[in-house]
Amino acid sequence: MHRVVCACPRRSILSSAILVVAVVFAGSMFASPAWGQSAPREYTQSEVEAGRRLFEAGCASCHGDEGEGGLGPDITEAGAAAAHFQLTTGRMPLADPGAQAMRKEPAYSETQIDQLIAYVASLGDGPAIPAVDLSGTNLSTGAELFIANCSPCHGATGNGGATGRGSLAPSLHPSEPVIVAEAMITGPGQMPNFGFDAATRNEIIRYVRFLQSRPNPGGADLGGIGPVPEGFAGLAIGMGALVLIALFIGKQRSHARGGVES
Amino acid sequence: MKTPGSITASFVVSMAASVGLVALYVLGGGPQLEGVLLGFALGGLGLGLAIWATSYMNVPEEVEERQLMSEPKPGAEEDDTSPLPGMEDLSRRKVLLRLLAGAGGTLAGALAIPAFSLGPNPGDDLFRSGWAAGDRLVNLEGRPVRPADIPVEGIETVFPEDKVGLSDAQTVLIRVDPDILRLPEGRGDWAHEGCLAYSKICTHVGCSVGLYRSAAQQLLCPCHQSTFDVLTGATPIFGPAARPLPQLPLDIDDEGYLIATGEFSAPVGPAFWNVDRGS
Amino acid sequence: MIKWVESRLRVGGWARKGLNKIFPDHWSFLLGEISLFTFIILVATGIFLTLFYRPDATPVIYDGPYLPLKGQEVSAAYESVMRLSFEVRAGLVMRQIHHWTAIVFVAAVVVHMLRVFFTGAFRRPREPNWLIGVGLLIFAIGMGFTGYSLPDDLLSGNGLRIAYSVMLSIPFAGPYLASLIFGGEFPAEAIISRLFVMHIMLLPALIIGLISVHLAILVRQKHAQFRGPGRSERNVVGKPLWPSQTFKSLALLFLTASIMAFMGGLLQINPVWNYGPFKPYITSAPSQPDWYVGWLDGGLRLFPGWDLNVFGITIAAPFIPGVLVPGLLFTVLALWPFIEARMTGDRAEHQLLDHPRDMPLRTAIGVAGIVFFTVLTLEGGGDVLSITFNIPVEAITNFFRAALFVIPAAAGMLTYRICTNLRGTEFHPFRRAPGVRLRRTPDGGFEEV
Repeated sequence: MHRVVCACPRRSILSSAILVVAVVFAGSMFASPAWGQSAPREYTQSEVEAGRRLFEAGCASCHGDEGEGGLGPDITEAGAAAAHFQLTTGRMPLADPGAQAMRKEPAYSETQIDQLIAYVASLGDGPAIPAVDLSGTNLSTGAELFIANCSPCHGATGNGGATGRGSLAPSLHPSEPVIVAEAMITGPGQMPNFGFDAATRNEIIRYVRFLQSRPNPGGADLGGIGPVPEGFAGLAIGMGALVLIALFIGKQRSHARGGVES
Repeated sequence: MKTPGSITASFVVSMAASVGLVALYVLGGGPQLEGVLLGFALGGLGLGLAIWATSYMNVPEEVEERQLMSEPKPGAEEDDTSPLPGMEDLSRRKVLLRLLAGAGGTLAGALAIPAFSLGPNPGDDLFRSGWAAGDRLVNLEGRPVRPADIPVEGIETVFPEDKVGLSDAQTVLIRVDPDILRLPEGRGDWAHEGCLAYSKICTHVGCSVGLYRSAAQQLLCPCHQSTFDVLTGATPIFGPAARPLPQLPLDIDDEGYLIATGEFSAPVGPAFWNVDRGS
Repeated sequence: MIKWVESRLRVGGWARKGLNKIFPDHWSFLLGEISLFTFIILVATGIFLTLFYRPDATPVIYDGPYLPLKGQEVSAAYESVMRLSFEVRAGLVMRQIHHWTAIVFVAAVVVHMLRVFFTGAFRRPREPNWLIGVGLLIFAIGMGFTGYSLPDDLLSGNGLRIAYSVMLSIPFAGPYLASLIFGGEFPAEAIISRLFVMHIMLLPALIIGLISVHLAILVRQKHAQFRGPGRSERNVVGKPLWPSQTFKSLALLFLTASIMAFMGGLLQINPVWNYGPFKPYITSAPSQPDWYVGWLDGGLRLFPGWDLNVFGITIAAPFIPGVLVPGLLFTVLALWPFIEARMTGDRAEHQLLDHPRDMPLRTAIGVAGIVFFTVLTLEGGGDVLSITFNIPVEAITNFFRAALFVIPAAAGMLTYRICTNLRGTEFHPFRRAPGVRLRRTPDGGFEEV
């Protein structure tokens, strides 16, 4: 990459302190329940009970009282991983039973989500919330794995893609690392259940984080989905500008016998 | 004569940008700035010229005579399309002319024949995928695969052992609930514990079919959206593919690893004129 | 200086005559120049790229500064493009200018061709130049296809696979032809260096040769012109080559290059580092060619999954949309001057141009053709349209399947209507109608508005 010449102002002690506080505050966001636990934990019986009450109110109509299914699928083996994924991304409760579950504002508070997860996890032996550890990962390994396994649906830059019959593989840009891991494990919707081990998952997540930083050395990425927007830009901006220039050059503005052309 | 300000400004901007470009290069470069400065350098020059030509050139319109192409030039003596002297003598030598044409034609054919050196006769290549009976299925890392390694609703790309990356042998291994399988006649034992293997090369125009709609059990090709029903032998149910994805018959060896028990059910990849010759 | 040359070559009289030659002035006559100038920019930037590119499919291990690829096995060709993009000063901007200019080059050729079509400039005596022009269009598309396949990345490699498969579908000769051109069964290593030869030697030679003849014929026949005061079939009214037209052309050259430079620096195009090196067992989504090949991709998507069986020979589905239909379309395009001459019975020489409205049938057919290609091109981007507008991909394909002939026909008929209504009027969408507007006054007179 090109060297960036940085004209950084000298910092005073006070602004450095503010910076430290800001970083700690920002870092704590990652740990707060709003972003979900990034490590598995045990749930208390009271959480399970509270979760059961929430479940009966908001989920049992489709998933059954014990998660055995009905209008919606059987989630007894879905586990904490699936519950966490679906609830924190707001996919569940499902907005439109006929359409694919899409990311939206979560319907429950962090505490309530924890309780629901506790209850769903208690229903069977489903996967726990995975721990994501990016230390020791290699960006290049992650890139290879991502291109091989994820790009056919999510695109080479994780910007999403159409997957037929109205379904789509969403953009990965808003997804936190644990969410990405849970998706690989639980295969929500039409997504396959990948049998990766934790190390492989972490490699892929490392590359997804890289993609999320939108590194675009060439300029504006025009959507990052390849030649379609590039073609539109080339025709509209490129050819368009040139036609305007031809119109400008073709028009005589000085005094000339014969006047302006038709 | 007063020097127009707009043209002056354009040329000056152009000069400044050109100098800036040199400075930028020396300092390390950077595509965005390089493009912008180059754009101003070229654009300043172009705009200046354009304004000059359209607004500050007093060139009156002129009329020039034009000769129609189909009429002969006035004053021409002979018809330019009449035969040249010497043609008559030449055209009497009919036998020689025919022999000349023959020699020229056969020479052209002979000179063209090395074109066949460009590539081998495909022979049976299009009918062989590289799989043989007994080949273990290995993943991209080269590890042999057991059914337990792949979850239900899972997908993995596999190859024969020692042939990882061989294009014709690329295969998708999918695991479904075995109770819902409805494979074609004679393929009852081609799947094991719900594990199925199909050629990954789309039978439309050859893209790799890596998109698996796990809840609907459909393979979707990312290129032109040909959709294949995994449960019925990867039969095409939408899109421009006409033929099902060839299926690889599977079995389990003594150590529990998945192996192929033969070639694919049909030649892999897109169809060609004699694809159904049944070799 | 001039005297030095003149006393050795004696070209003064001829040069004077040439520099005083009159060229008619109309902005649309500059479209052909835009095609020429974009080609010149491509050659200039292309020479720079050629000095860094390695047309070599040999696998190497990437060891450059782009971390997500470090340690991966890539072809030497891909590695050279990565090195040019990330380790050579001005490398990335040159690559991007080159690619954007290629996109615009084909567009300019098409727009220029449409101007010639809609003004009837292909009629006698300009049929040879029309044929040359169609040839140039085909070679321009070929240049683009060979060019973007050179980096040997995942996206363009898939495009090569599709081209190989379409070739395969040709009855009898298909497998052999594909093997000859690629140097074996796909993926064959030879194709990268062969595309390179096509891209920097064979096709440019053909294009430069054809452009030269194209311009020579233009000079010989003199440019056509629109009707107007003082203009006839036997004269050319306009400005002399020097200084007026030369300055305008130079201005156009620099401004064209300027736009290409701005785009090359500010808009990312073909980021091959994101796709990674070509691997024959991976296809990422969405997967499209550059726009000027998009109509072929759309045709491949639209044509239903019908393998035809004729006397025991399988005609694979891609043959019709991939070989037969494009062949037919370009044949009709090339022969259009002769088709129209036969249809209208008009075999006279024309030096004056039509306004599109003067020939409603030709204009309607032209518009129908444009819409047809547009429908195919849109279908080529069908999965992108699907996620952009939240419509199932199948619905888009089915709609375009049904509409492929209906929409162009409707557009053609509407155009015909508009032309016949406008014929004889001086109505122009961007200019005021000539004449004055009058209003009746209460006492019976007229006053100007």
